[in-house]
Amino acid sequence: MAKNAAAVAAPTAKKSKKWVQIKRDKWMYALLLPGTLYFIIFKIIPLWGIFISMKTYYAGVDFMEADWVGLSNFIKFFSSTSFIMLLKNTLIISAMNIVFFFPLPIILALLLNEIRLQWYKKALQTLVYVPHFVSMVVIASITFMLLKESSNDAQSGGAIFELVKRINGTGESWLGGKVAIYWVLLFQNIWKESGWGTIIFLAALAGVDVEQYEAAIVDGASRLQQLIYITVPAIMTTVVTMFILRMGSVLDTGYEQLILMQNSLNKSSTDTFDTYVYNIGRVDGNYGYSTAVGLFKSIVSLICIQSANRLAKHAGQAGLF
Amino acid sequence: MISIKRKGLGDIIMDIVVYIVLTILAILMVIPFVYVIAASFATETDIVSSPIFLFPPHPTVDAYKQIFDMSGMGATVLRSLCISIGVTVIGTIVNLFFTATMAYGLSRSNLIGKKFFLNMVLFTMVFGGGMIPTFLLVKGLGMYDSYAALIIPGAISAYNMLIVRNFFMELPSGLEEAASIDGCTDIGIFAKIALPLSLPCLATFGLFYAVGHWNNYFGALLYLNNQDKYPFQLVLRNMVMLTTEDTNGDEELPKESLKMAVIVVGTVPILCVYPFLQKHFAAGVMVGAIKG
Amino acid sequence: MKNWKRISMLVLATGLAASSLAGCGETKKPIDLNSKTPSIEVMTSANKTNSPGQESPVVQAIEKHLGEAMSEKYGKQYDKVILDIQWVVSTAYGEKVTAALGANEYPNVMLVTARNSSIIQNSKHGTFWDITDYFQKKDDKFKSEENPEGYVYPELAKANPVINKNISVDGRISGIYRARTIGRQGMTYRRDWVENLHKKGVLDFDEPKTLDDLDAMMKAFTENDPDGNGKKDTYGMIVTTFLDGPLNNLAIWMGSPNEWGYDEEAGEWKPWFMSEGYFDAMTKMREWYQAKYINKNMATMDANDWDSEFLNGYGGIQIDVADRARRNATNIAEKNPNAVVDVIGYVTDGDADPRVLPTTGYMGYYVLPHQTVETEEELDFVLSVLDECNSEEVVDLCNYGIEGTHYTLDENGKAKIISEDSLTKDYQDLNQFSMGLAGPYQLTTAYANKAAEKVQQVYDENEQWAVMNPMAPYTSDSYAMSGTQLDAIIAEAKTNYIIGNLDEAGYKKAIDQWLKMDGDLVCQDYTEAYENDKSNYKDGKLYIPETSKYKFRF
Repeated sequence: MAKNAAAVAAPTAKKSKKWVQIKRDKWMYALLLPGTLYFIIFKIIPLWGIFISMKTYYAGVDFMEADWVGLSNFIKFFSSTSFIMLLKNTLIISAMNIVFFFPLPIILALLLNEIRLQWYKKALQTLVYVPHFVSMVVIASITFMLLKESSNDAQSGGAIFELVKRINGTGESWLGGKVAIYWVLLFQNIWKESGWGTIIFLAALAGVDVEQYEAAIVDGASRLQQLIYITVPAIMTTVVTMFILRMGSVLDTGYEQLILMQNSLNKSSTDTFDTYVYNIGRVDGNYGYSTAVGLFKSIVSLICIQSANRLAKHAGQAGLF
Repeated sequence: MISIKRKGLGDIIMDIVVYIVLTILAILMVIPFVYVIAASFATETDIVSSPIFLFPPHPTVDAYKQIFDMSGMGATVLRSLCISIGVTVIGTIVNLFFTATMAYGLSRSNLIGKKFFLNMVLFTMVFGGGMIPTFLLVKGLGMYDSYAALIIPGAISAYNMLIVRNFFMELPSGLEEAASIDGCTDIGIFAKIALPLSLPCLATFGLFYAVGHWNNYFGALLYLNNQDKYPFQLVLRNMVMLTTEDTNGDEELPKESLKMAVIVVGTVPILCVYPFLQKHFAAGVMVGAIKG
Repeated sequence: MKNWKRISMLVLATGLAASSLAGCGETKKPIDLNSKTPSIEVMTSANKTNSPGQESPVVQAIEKHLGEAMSEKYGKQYDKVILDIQWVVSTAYGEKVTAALGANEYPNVMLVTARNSSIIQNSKHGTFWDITDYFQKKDDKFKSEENPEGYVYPELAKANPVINKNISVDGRISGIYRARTIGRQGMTYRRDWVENLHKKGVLDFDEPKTLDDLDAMMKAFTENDPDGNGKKDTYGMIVTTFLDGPLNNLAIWMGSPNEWGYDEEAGEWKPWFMSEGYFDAMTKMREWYQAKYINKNMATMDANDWDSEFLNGYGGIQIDVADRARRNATNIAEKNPNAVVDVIGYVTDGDADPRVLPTTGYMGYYVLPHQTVETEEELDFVLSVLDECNSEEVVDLCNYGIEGTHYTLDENGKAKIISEDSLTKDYQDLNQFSMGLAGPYQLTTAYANKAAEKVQQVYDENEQWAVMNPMAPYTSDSYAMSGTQLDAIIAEAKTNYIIGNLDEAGYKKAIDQWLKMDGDLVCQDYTEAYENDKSNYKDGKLYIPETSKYKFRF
């Protein structure tokens, strides 16, 4: 490799050191091989699909023959009147989920961890996982059942609607409220996923060294103190990891739940990038444009996930990368 | 495990609060599912006309009879159930193999090129090619209309892999060093030490992957050509999602009770997996044991 | 950041390699016309997961029949024509078509269900055979008593030209449609309530005929205790988040165009929601809503609750597809044996002629891709097979199975289906394969209840009063681009106007927004499409029929 040994003496030394290290880790690379092949074949190769965003491509029309339209799909998207509305709704829904929903599985996991009766703990765990398996369609119909307003003055509405009406007397619509719907959506998420979300944190808690608790008990620490000084720090890495990954999906709201809950009264506050892509790509069949919107989302995700990672490292955490 | 002899008053209060709060939460979370079960045993009129009930006013097993009627749907349902179990088991093993090897490979902090691999994972986590390129690829690889198309294209979830990697990174490094001095290769350390130590983590992600396979119907819709190959969830979904059209072109909606029964039948098998895995979640003791 | 460069290089390189691969490697499945058992692969939608295959006696009977018919037509011995049906569940049918198009791999005959931009581009692009001239193709050698004109495809010749035009792209037809009821819409109502109120002297009819009757009925259902329980606990019409069901029908009854109308004053085509008739209908509903004749939660009521409000006896009118009446008549009997459910197709505006909102009349159409149907000879054979599939014999087999095994004939000659799952699975979903465009067919089933019989009458009568959508054959690129978003603006405005959140000025503002968000381009696209269609010219001048001209408010 080195044509002129003298001239490249220093880099060769550095290189050879690198080589030693690579050789040392050869089995690690062997372990990396299957996964890397997977990523190249199934994740990198299909990335050519990104170019669909710059073409007038329709399935069936030869991709190579489709006309290039450059960035016009992007320009159209950013300059459209819906852009600001979509961004606002997406950010509100996402922020509410991060602020109110993200901490709940952690708290729930910590509470479950405090249960000493093993059979009861297991039973509770199983019960809180159940909602995860109930499909969104069923959750939506149960929500309608609980929150629907009365159809005329003689009939009563859903159980929760009536309850709230009795408390504050207004009888405002939850399902049709421009702001109220956000809380409905949030609560659906909490109900469906917070129990399931505890799994990762419980696994992390299972890894906490028991000796530490024993030492703390000897020192006379109360349960609360053990929780704050041993348990919480022990799962902090997992929490940070989950948070960074969550930031990567800051513009993801999903479309199924939103489309199920949408109506003419709340649509202007529940239309997000995901519902937009769904309508334009899957329903209208306009792949170029929907790919462009998707690409915009990806770029934002990348920025968010990188920033969150930096921030975590800055705060003295390990970070993800 | 931990013997607590003396309890302070604060500890007792905390215990009571935790038990009460969790019990209420668990009940709230399970009530809608109880309704689903109750509705699956109820008559159509009861479901349409009454609000939520936790016990069917006129219990009947008609919906279940229809699902498992051997002369009609039954054979299809049972066949698809076997297919789903097979795909879930094999798929989860494939997932865990690919995920664990890659995660462990990336867990060494000073590995040369680590950054490159991580960036590749991150990049593909946020950028994707979309449905058409992936479909073409699967077809080009000859996996179309085979179960491989349900397993291989989703062999690793980047998200899960990164979390597993974090678990590996938290393993005490002393163990690895000790093992490598004993003459173990990295693969040996991975198989003999890292894997057994991370059983709670593997059980967790095994569960995630298994549930993913179990619930996946879209892959089957897209990649399977032959109705005889359909997995359970797809068959169940079709039983309830489709409005059938009779000979006059009139639509017939599926019955509510059938919908509910389908949810119960589709959920219970995967719920049963959980208690088997549960014992691994309490495996944290092991870390201490080996260390000691 | 060096890694990013490397990754993007990798992406580029593999991307180029992959996209060059994408165009090749497809396998062709020619139709073997020399075989005694030629096989045709058909992709169609399924509503079940155990749709019949080669083992089904009904499929075998159809294949044998097709073999005989083809032997006769071509003077060659065919033992049977194998129908290799690839069933795809209807919930994902669109994705499957997209995948087939993207991968360039087609069956010989493929159903397309959505006329979205992708299908339209492919039709323009010549991916499918242009069969416009085959429907009426004649050849003297086929002249016979049943076929005096000598059509080559006598059943296809019976296709409805209006629907054929509706599925065309640039005036060319590339598919054979699956026929559906045109006059499907209707008003389901509680006849016993009307009769009660008639007896009490509140109403002076048993069946509403005019808009005024409907108006009176709405009021009486709300205020005059139609169920006679002494409580004021009922209301007139049930409206859900699917506002378009009731509103569009009412609008047509009140003189709105169907989707598009020509505004003579402005000299341009405009969408119906800008018309005088449509606005009148909205205003009518607004009045009803204020008077509480409509359920007050109409803006948020899930469409799944539509029937339960009716079955519980809260509301007494549903305007939507007429077949709701049949279903609700069956279901209400369990709860309230005295309830009588009836259905009508329309009410008229005074003495004016009836006006009815039709459906498109088809549900998807079968296309024949050039890639898998290569020669004229193959095309002819496939068309002949599809033609024969529209014959009475094959359609009956698809709908009811084999006589004696799957159904028996009652004294009126109606089919009595033996409804056992082990039998119905032999032919269920074959009605999804079937096109039935040469109907009406003679064999029908006995009605489940009285309302069901009335539903059939409504279907038959509605058809002659259908107000067709003049723009149905045309497409707009701008609409294909963002139609869903455009529709949403108007849907929102309509609801808010009816429940009183918007006034006329507010509604006008929504229309302006619609126009600004490329709605104007949609109008332009349709106007141009209409002008570009040669069949719209008479004596060299653009011809707009009087029935397409309407008054517009906006």
